[in-house]
Amino acid sequence: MKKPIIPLLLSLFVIFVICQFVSASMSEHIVNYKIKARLLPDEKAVAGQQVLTWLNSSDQPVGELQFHLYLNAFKNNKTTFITESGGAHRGFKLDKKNWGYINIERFAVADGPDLTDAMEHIQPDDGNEYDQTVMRVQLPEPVLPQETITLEIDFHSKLPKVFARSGFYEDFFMVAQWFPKIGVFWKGEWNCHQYHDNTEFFADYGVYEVEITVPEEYVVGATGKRINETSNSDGTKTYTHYQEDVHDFAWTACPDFVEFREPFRMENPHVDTEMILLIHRMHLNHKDRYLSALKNGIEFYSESYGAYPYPTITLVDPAPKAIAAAGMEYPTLFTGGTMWWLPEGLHMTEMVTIHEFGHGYWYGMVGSNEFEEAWLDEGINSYSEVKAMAKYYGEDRSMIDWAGLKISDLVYQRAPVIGSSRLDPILKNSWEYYSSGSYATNTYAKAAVMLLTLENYLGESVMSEIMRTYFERWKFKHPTSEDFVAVAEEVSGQDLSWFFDQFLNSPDKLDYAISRIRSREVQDPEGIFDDQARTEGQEAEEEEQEEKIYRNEVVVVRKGELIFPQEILIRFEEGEEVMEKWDGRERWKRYVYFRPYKLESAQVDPEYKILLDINFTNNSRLMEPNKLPVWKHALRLMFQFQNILSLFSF
Amino acid sequence: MKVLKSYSNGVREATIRPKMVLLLWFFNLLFGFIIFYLLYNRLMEAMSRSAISEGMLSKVNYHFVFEFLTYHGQAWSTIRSTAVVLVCGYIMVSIYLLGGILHSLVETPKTSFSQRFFQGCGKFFGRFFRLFIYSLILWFVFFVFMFILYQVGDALTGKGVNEQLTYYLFLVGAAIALFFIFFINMIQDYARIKIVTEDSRYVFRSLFQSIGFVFKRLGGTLVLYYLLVLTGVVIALVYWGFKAVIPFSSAAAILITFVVSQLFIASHAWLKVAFQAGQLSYYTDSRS
Repeated sequence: MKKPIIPLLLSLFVIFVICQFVSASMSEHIVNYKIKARLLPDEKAVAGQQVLTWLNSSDQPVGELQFHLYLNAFKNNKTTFITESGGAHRGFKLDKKNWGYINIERFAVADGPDLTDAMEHIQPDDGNEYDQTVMRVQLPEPVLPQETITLEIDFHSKLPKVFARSGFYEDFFMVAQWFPKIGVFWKGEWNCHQYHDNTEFFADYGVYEVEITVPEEYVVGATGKRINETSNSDGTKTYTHYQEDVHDFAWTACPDFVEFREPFRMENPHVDTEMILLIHRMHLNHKDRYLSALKNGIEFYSESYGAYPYPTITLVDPAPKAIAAAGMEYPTLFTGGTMWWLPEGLHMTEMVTIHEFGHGYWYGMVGSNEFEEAWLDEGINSYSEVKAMAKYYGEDRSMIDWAGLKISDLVYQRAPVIGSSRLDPILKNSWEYYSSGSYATNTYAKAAVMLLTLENYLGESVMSEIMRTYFERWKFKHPTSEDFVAVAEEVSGQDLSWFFDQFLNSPDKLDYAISRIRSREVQDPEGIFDDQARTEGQEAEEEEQEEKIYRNEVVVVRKGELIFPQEILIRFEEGEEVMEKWDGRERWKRYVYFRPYKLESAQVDPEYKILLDINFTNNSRLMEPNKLPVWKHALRLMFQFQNILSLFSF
Repeated sequence: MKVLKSYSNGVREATIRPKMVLLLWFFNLLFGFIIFYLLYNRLMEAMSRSAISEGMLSKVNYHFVFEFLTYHGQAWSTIRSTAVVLVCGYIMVSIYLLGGILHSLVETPKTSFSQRFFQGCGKFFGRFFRLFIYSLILWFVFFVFMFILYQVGDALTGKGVNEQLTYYLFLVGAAIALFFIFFINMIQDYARIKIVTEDSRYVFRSLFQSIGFVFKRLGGTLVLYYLLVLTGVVIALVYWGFKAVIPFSSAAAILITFVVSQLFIASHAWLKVAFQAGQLSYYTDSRS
């Protein structure tokens, strides 16, 4: 039988092309959004038409769909977001003359029934009937496993005056969380939380192709690569942006933006991307600061975790007075934040740039659930930020190096941990924290300090390998805390449950201290001893022969509930040093040494490796007080006070 | 010429009155020492027996600073409250001492310095305190003026949208505020001089007459005042230059820095006397 060789070859070619296509995409494309958006500057709104194709990647039929309608968080004063936040977010108040909301005008299955009337708002987290940030639609027929459904959705998004990351200020628009976004069907159910004061976002990866139409004087920046740009007869321009392997799409428009584009290339690992800076004309003096920090960010994260894979990265500098939009991450686009007058020694611009770029990794590529386990993006990213800032701006001055003040990012991260209350652990649903402060302290600062402590415990190279493996294994997926712990244990070859069980799940604190050091001369036997009789002559003879012996005692205590193995460095007067190791489990431990000399000092964790310890000052105890620094600082402060007095007496 | 003569008179009068300068410095040190005592005890407790103190000689350890503020927050708050009370107390003491300074400068030395000085302190305290209260009117006018200025600035910058303009307007605003603070201070100085030289009990009238005096001789009074301010600036620059080269990390260096810093505080006292003496000289020359 003659074999049909040409059709076979053609089939093989087609399969090869498909395989190439599949392997070229970095994530499983669950969603495919095609959106046409028109900015309505006078209305401060966006009119949108969205075609969404959703793939049911689970192994069960799905009969209903759930969507986030984030902008409805700003619809009235009874929403969950406004109720929880009191109408203020990160110190900025919601302008009650400019509510934000999203109206879905049409919701239909492509070539199928109109389901507009089937839409229903639900409140899976708190049952707040006024909250319309989540909606569900019952489908006429379920979507079978590995099948897709295409929906056509027309919507109208009214933006709030810039608040909680998105909105407008005069002619600046930060259009974020602006379209109906499908939830994540995960672990056999919809994971589609309401928009809370403390929560961020969670979505599936896919493809976004968005046409943005704005008045032609507007400069536009958006997620992904610009693939088309056309001028329209009505005085508008349409920009088309396209990006695969992302889970969100944000854009910005402002006539006062000045655009700078610069290529970024590095060899190992291979990175070839374009840096796009949209800087407000008021902040042009900080163009180089932004670009330099962005380069540092791309270099650090690529070297530390893996190559930055996208063709573009857009840094948006929000307009003055639109600072509520600053410091926020979206895939391949993020907002920085600066002020014209900000001195170079105050590294806020650099810190925000590096931090938000870093979210392209921890949130963007490693798509953990920000609603339920915010530490996986904020904590890991703050840890990365501390390391990057130290590398590029100086270990001891990475945050502030100005007017004689030198403060590191590590100090900045550790400070809230020191003063935090024992109310919440690191791992918790973001909307269930005691307060916004507690959320920020635990998910950002404490989690970062926890990872830095782990790095000091395991060693930098092991930790580096953990982070690279975690990134490599979980990029474009939805990992959980358990997945991170599993990678850490696998790479380190250690059971780290003792570490993560305590520090992720307990609100308690870690504090070891030297509670007592004492050197007492060993006394000769006095009194009545049954075994031998001692004469005065014998005692005198022994005294002449023997040198003094001291009983040196060190007591270490565990003042917090959390346990960490400790090293204790004990120094004696003659220069002798003893390093003790203690598992740190008991509430206290006594060490006794008989020496012909006295103790000088004792110090638990002498290299301050355990950064989670909330009190470094009590880590050590000196036999003799060190008064000189006290004199120095007390006199200095007195002098400053005397100057104030002089000032008031003129 | 009159201004320069008054300036040199002021400098000379302050220089030949070391007792007065020392007395003023002593009161400043006394108030400062209370804060030192509180701080010293608290810092001794907080860090003297910790190894963290070893690094605190060469630079500030901010881990310690935040721990101190956290674990000694109550004490720190007490120290701050004490400082506020002390500043208020010191303002009263300064009003009291100003009577002594001016009385000693005006009176011919028939009695001992301390007699003249404290006689003046007691004699004029009540009047100067009333002047202090009446001067609140001037400060109220000043705050209203600054508020209007702020509103104008806000409108010009679009409520801070134009950050560059906001920054420059802030600097201009600060300079204007400083000018008016100095100006009101100068008016008060001349009012006190008038009260002492004329032994006047009409404090309110003296205040307004001194305003008239200053406005009639605006150039002279301002030049004299700013010459004295400039002298203070030069002294401060010398001090900061010295401070920059001293490492401040050994016992000897701490001692030297303490002595020099107290000389700097004493120089404030000297400058204060120079201000009074210089303006007194200008006032009497202008009236004669």
